[in-house]
Amino acid sequence: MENKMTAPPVVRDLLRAGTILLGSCVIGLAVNAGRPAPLAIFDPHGPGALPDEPHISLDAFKELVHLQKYYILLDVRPDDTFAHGHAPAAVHVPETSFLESYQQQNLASLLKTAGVVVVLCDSSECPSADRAAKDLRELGHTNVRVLEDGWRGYLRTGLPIESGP
Amino acid sequence: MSAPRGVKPWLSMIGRLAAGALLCAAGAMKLNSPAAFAATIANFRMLPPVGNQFLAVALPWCELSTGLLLIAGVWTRAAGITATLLFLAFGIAVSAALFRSLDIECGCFGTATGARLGWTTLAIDVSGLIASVLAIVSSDEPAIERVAHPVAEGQRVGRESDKKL
Repeated sequence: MENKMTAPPVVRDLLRAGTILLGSCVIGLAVNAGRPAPLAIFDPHGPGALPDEPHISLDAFKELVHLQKYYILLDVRPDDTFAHGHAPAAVHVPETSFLESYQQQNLASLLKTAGVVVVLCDSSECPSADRAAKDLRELGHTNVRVLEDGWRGYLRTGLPIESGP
Repeated sequence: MSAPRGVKPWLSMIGRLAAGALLCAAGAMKLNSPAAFAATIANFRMLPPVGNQFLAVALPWCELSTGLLLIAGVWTRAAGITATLLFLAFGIAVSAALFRSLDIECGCFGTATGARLGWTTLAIDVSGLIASVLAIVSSDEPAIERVAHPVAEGQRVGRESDKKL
């Protein structure tokens, strides 16, 4: 006597869906392992880690401004948010084209004249300031700081603001 | 498996093919640059570095295999479930990023496009989600499954029990 057990269609479909996901993960790991330069999945400082560059607190930044020390404020936000409001002395270099603009605008010589380069993006939630700061550090600029909480933080300092490109 | 009343077979097929094409394109465009994709996932600030790197390796293959299965019409409902889970996860990640006003790259179709995250991204995700749900309720029996299972399971069991009688 034949006693054939068949899984209900829903269970069967869920098992198949799990197989698709699991199989795809295995294929992905195998392909990665076979690459000439495989991605180090378990490296906590690998490309999946956000850059965490040195920050400057809002108080320290205000002191920098009030003492009239020579600093450069590098605003890496996109064009539209920059035009909406920015610091009067800010140098605008959108992060999306950061390295191209760095060369085209000859930022190297400008930034080297500054005691401190302060980079800002929208807030502490945006990664672009950290990325730009990392790029600058790798380009040989040693005194680069990311402004704490970015533009949101700047607004809290009460320092002047202007709008337009 | 027949479609629920009200879902036209041609609509199910369009959903299956659309979700499949979307996932194939998204997966294929991410395959070659896992490191850049890991950095893009990190920008969403949802997972630890190891999670970002694992996803960068596995996710493109999950998308590609699910997309290919949907287009080929093999394990259609299971692939539809996988696609639904993928689009749900994307939707949650995109919504969370938009809610936090993150100005980041989408990475939806790889990092080469440089497309920014926005409401269009969420609209694409929702469209993909709807298409995937349509694929789950698909009634168009694909050619390959028709060859593999010429008679529906329920009918086959019914015939075996007829013989026993």
